[in-house]
Amino acid sequence: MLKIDKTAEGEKVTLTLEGRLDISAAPQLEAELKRAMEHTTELIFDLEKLDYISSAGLRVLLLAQKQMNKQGRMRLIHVGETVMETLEITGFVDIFFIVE
Amino acid sequence: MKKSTRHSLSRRVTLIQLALMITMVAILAVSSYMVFRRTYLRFYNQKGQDIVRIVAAQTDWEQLEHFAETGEPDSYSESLTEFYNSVKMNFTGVGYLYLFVPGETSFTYLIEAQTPEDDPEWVAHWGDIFEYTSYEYEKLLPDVRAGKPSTEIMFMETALGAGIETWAPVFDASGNVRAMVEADYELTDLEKEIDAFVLRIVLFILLCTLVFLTVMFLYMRRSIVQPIVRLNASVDSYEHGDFDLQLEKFRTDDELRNLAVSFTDMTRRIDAYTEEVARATEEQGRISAEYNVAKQIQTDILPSEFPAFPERRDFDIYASLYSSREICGDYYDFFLIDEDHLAMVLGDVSGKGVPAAMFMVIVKTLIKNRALQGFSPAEVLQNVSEQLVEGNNAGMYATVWLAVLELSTGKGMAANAGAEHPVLRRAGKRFELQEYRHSPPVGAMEGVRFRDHGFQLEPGDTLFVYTDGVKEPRNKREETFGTAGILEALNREPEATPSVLLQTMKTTIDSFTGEAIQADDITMLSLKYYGTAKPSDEWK
Repeated sequence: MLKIDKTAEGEKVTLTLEGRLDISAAPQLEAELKRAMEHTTELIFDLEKLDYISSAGLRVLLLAQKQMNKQGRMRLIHVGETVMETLEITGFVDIFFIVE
Repeated sequence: MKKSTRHSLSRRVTLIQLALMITMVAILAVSSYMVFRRTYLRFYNQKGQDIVRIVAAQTDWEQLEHFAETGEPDSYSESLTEFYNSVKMNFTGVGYLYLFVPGETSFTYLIEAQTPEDDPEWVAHWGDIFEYTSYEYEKLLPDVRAGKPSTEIMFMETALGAGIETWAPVFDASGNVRAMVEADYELTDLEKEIDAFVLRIVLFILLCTLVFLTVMFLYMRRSIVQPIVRLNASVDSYEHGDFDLQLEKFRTDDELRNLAVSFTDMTRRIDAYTEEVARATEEQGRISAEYNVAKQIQTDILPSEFPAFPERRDFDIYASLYSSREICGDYYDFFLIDEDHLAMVLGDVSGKGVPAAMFMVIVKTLIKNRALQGFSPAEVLQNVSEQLVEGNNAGMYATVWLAVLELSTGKGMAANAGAEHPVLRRAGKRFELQEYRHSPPVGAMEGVRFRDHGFQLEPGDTLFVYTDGVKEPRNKREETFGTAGILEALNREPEATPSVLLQTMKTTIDSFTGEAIQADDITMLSLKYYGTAKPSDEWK
C-alpha cells in the first residue's frame, strides 16, 4: 500500500510518499507523476515515511528524474535508513539529488 | 414428457376459466331461481287479489241477504252464482272461488263457483261449515276484523298441491263485514315452470361459455402459448448452437415480443462475447507460447554445462537461475577472456516480461563483447551503459556485478552497478558481506561514472554473488530472508563446493518461504579459488 500526498506551490510540487513503493504501487505513482510534472520546474519527493522501495519503484523515480532533467530539477528529501540503503546498493545515490 | 409440458400452460388457464365459469353459472342459477320465484308469486298474488276485489265489489249484500239467511235461491243469487262461475272459468289458474260467512272458529259457505270440469262431489254448497285451518285462523281473521282484503303473499303447500290464497270482504249498507270472497290460485306446476326456465338459462349460459372458452383457448394458444413455446424451443436449439427466433412471427407488439426481442439481443451479445473469449483465448495461447519461448531464450543463452571448465584445477565455478513464473530478466554469465582471466557477470534487468528478457539479452551481449576486448569492469559498464541510454525511453536499466579475475595471481577487479553486496569467505573463516561504494545501474542515466573496485583472492577463498531474488523472499509472517538469511545458509557448511553451496541456498530459501509463490528470479553464482594450490583429484 502506498499513500501519495501532493502539495503544489506555483511550479514547485512536493510528493510525500508513505508505505511501500513496490511493483503493485508503481503504476499508481507513475500516473500521479504524469499530472504532477506538468508545468513543474521543481519536484520534491518527501520519503520520510516510505518504508520500502523496489526496483519497479526505482524505475518510476528514474523516469521522473529523466523528465525533470529536461524541465527543472528533482530532489529527494528526508530519505529514511532503509530506503537510503537500497539507494546505495543500487547505485541510485549517484543519479538522484538527495538532500541530507 | 415434452408434449405434456408444452400445452400445460393453456390447459391450466382454460381449466381455471372453466372452474370460474361453472361457479358463475351455479350462482346465476340459484339467484335467478329465487328472483323468478318471487316475481311469479307476486304476479299471481296480485292477480288473485284483483279477482277477489272485483268479485267482492260485484257482490251486493243487500240483495243477497235473503239467500244468505235462508238458502233459498232467488234471481239475484242465481245470477251471482253464474257470475262466480264465469269468473272461475275465464281466469285460468283459479282453483277455488267462493263466498263465505266467517265465524269465530269456522266459516259457512254461501256460494262456490263451479265449472263443467269440476267434480261436483268436491264443490261445497250453501250452509256447509268448515273449520279454519290454523293458517286461515292466523291470517284471515285479523283481516275480517279490520275489514280489509289480503295484502301479503300467502303461499300454501299441501299434499294436494301448492297455491296462493287471496280474499276480500263484502260489506253491507252500513259498512259492516258480512261475508268474504276467497280465491285460491293453483300453482302446483310453478316449481316445474321455474325449474324449466332456470334450466334453459343455465343451458344457454353454458353454451355461451363453451363458445367463449373455445375462442379464448384458441386466442391464447396463438398469441401467448405458441410464442412462449417458440421461445422455449429456440432456447433449446440455442443450446445446440443454432438460434433463430423468427421475430417476424411475433405479430403483436406486446410483452412477449419485447421478451423475444431482448432474448435475441441477449443471444447476439452472448455469441459476440463467446467469439471474443475464443479469440482472446487463442491470443492468450499465442502470447503465452511466445512468452515461454522468450523465457526459454533467457535461460538458453546462459552457460549451463557444469563443470564449466573441467580441465581447470585452479578454480571451481557454479551458477544457477531458478526462474519465477514471470520473466524477470535475471542473468548470470562467466567466460575466460584469455587463459589467465576469468570474467563473471550477474545481472538483473528492471521490470518484467518480454521487454525485460530482450533488454537482458542486449546487456549480456554488449558486456561480453566489451569484456572480451580486455577492458576493466568499470570501462566495460561505462561503454555498455552509454550504448543503452541512447533511445531508452522506457526507463529500463540493469543492475550488474562484473568482475575480472587474474587466475594466476588472484588479483581481481569488480564493478558493482547497483547489484547486491557480494559475499566473500576467506579460507578457514566465515562468509562476510563485502560492502563498498556501488555505481549506478547500467542504462539508467547518461553521464554517470562507473568505479572499479580492486580485490585479492587467496587460495581457498570462496565468492558468492546473488540477485535481489535471493535476498528478498518473504514468508507468511511477512519476514524477509535478507542478507542475514544468506550468511546463515552459507556458513552452515562453509567448506562446501560452489554447486553444493547454491543447492543449500535454494533449499534454505524454499523452506523459508514455504508455500508462497516465488516472486522473482533466484540467481546465484559462486567461485571457489584454488590458485596455484591446485587440488589433486585425490584431494577432491
